Amino acid sequence: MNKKIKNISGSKVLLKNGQILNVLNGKDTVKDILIEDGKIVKIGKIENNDSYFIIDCNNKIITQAFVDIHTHFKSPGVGDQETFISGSNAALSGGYSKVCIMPDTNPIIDNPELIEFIFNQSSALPINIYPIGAITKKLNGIDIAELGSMINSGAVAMSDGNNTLMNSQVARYAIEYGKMFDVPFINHPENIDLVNKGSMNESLTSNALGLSGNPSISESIMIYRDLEIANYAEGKIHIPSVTCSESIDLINRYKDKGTDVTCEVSPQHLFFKDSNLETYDSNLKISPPLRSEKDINKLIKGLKNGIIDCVASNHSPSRFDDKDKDFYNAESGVISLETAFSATHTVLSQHNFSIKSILNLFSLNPSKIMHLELCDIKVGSIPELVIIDPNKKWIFTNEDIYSKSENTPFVNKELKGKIEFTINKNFLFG
Amino acid sequence: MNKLSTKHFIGLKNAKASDIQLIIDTALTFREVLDRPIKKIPSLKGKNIVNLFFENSTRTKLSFELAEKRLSADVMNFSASSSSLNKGESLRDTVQNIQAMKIDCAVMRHPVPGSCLKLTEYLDCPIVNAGDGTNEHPTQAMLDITSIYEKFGKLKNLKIAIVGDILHSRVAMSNILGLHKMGAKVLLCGPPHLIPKYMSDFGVKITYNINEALDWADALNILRIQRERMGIGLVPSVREYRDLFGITKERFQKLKKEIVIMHPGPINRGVEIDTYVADSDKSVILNQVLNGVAVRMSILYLLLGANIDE
Repeated sequence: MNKKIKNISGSKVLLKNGQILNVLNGKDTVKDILIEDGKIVKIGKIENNDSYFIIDCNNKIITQAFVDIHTHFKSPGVGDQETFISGSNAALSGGYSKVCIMPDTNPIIDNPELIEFIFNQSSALPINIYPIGAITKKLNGIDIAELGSMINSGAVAMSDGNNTLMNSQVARYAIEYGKMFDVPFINHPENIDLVNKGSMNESLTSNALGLSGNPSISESIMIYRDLEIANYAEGKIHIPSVTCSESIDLINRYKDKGTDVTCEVSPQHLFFKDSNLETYDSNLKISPPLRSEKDINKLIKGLKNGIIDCVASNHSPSRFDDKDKDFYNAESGVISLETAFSATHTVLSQHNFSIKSILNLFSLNPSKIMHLELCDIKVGSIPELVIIDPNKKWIFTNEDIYSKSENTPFVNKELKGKIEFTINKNFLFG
Repeated sequence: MNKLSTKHFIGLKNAKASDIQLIIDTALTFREVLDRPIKKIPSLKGKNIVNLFFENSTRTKLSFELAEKRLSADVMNFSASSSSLNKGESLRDTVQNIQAMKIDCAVMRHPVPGSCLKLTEYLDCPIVNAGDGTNEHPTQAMLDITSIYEKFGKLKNLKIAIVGDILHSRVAMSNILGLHKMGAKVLLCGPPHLIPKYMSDFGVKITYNINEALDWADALNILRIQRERMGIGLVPSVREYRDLFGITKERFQKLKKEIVIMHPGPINRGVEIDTYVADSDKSVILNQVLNGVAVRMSILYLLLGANIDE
């Protein structure tokens, strides 16, 4: 944990000579930015001054800090997987200033009092936390939770987290009920009957490794159902962690029809494939599972042509002993906030994605899905910025983990593109 | 002619506007009778009416019974809990017995839509629908419409908002049909999942925003949240429903216009309507109850009594 958080209120920070990429208007300029007392006070050519804290941004990109719309902080909770503070540091190290957290916490976020509690608890944090309210009470899959009251209290979406809402009638009611509030319905895309205790993608590899298979149809069928309901009920849905080729085709079809649907992909599903599981590394056990090379290529194509709207981390901290088990009994999920941008950039830059198009996947597009306002990069704005070295190749190590958990398959992986600093109001992380 | 154009009173789906107006006018005449010290008139003396209630009902049943007695008819009551019903067959068995007794009119409440129409195949006498599931409840609609007419002296171009659980309501459909026939405009307001799809095809407006409904309407017909009809937890909580759709004191006081408040009962005070509103001078809820008796007298009279007078 080499990076530290600094409170910069009262000091003047000069971002010198950076390439400013403003995702709100697409402008691309090389200028200096002066931040004073948590505000952008000057943009242009700014002379150095001894009283400034100067960050050399030469050959670096300055852009809006990222928005993650799919994070599990498991807080409130026991606190041994993640806390708001450790989660905030993980987010900042990955360039995020806004994080939407899933309600599969303890207690479960299924009422407006807890939404308010989370806002109160997070008000002093260096990042902004936006809770997602549970669709059903106690995630029971049956009784619609107080969605209206939660949304009035600030919930940005509704989801039962990793619990698939299997009851189609409840799904219909929730999507219809959600029409009053214009927030997305987010349902984990796995039909649990078809998952059938599968632990990895059903494929040649699962046969070769002797692991139980989780077929792509468990995902595509669930997505198909939700798309059909959303289309019929004229509601709004967002599909989390899309992983397989069939899902992309379905989502494309419904987008063409005009269904109000968005979707995301996780960095780990772009970076790793099912055949990487030959070591039985439980840090590669994810739900939905890692898919084939063919699927990954389809995901990349989906990102390129806009079928996939954004990248979301699906950051899921697990205690060491919950991961350090045989493959069947190990928990699913990986921490991902720290590596999300770098891992995605590593993959997509090889496929000729422009840096602008990658940045849109991390800030502009997710902010639109959750109706979160991005800061503009102009004089008077409160800065929520990230400084990126897009060309830096680096090895991710345990030292780069800020989460309280360490369940990541990225350790010792070479990544291209690094988050150097993240600025959120009066906080500088770097 | 002082007579309905139909033999039965099954619903407002196919009712003529002239019949609806006749029922209203006759009901308002009977309203005067109900204000007299002696409220009984001999119009249906010697007529035998059977009330067939295959589903629980308190107010509708009482109202019909009272209407029948006010008209001096002889009344028989039949009740069956819906659990003992064995769908169509049992209905047929039951009514064939009644047919054999030579009754003059049957009033029926039944949980299954379309069952009143089915009954016309089994019985020769006039039949009055006292609610067939979520299909129609035409006497309730007529008492609602009569109460509006009584208040405004007209129906044409009036704006009526029906608020609440439209999906499970037996009242909404008949109201929409009847009001449209009489030239009134109807808006439905409730949670999206409790407004049936394709409702807008009936030519009604739909909103999920109660404040919009309040601003638009001349009269509100507020439906009860029928918890017993819901298989799964549809309404997250009382406080959320009240927050989103309740006719609260605050919303009511903010209105800068006259508005008429109706409710078919029973009222969930503090849920869909605050006591302050239900008991205010804008509320015609208790008047609806009295009009209910008058409307039922009117319908029974127009089906049975008008023939005698001829």
